[in-house]
Amino acid sequence: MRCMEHGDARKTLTQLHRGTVEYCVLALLRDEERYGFDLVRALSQADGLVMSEGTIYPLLARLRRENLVTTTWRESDAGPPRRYYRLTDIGHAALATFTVEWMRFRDAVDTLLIQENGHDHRSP
Amino acid sequence: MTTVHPDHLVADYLRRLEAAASALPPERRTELIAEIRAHVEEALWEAGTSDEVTVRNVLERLGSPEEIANAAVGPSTAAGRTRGKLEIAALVALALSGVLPIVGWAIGVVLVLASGAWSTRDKAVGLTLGLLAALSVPAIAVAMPVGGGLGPFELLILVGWGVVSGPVSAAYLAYRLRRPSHPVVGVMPAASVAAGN
Repeated sequence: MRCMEHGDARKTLTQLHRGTVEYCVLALLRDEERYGFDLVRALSQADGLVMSEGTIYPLLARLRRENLVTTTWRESDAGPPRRYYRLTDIGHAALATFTVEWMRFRDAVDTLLIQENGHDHRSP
Repeated sequence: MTTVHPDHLVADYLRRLEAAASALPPERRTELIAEIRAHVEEALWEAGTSDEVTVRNVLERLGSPEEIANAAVGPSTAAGRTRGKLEIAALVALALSGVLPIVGWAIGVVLVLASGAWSTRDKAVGLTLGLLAALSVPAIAVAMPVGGGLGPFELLILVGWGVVSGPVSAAYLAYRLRRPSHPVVGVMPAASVAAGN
């Protein structure tokens, strides 16, 4: 965040970030169910993705309301009870769609950003 | 040296969260608090200790209760639930229910109940206010029978129910819909405008 002096750039990135995190959550659930704390910790390990761990829980609640995930509370062997999140069919479909679109979007933006740099370098 | 009992830190944090999340419907607030509580318990269990420093670190990584509450209140209203087509249709049906007495009101009520934009409490208060207002019409008429030209009692109920109830409910529900979510949200207004369009 230090280098983002420009207010608009920061705002754009915040919105982009907000929209993207939920798909990162879905991606973490693609192959296995996970409990809340485990999910939050996995997200925290990705650099710059999560600033306040607690804000992931409202996001998880929304994903559940939108039927992208289902939840089950379960006793754990040693620790406190855990609420497990599992991807639904709708969740899998949403993740697949986003993944395709994200790659197209990323490639398009990369092409333009990098091309512009190259152009600047080439012109004397 | 001012030591605070770690349990008090957690309890105080959850109390602040509950207060900050007061705009959420009760069931969602309870769910959020249960999740955060479970997170703290899990983090402390994993750390193997729950001394003051550990607790403070766990809470710090969670972020402030206000920040979490904003994340819960903001996105759901920003996701286009505040003033979607359903809510507008519901308000229009109620406000103009005099055109189609009873039927218009019934349509409005069904739409309001189907909407996720109002909390259960808002719905109950809004619809009850409307019905109370409707009952006041025949009540006033009975209290002042001087007019002579008043129609049959049934007509008064119809007028009350059909013409008064809907607009009163609509006014209250519209007011609750426009209730600002927390101004602290910062970037949220722009996000909600973008999402609403």
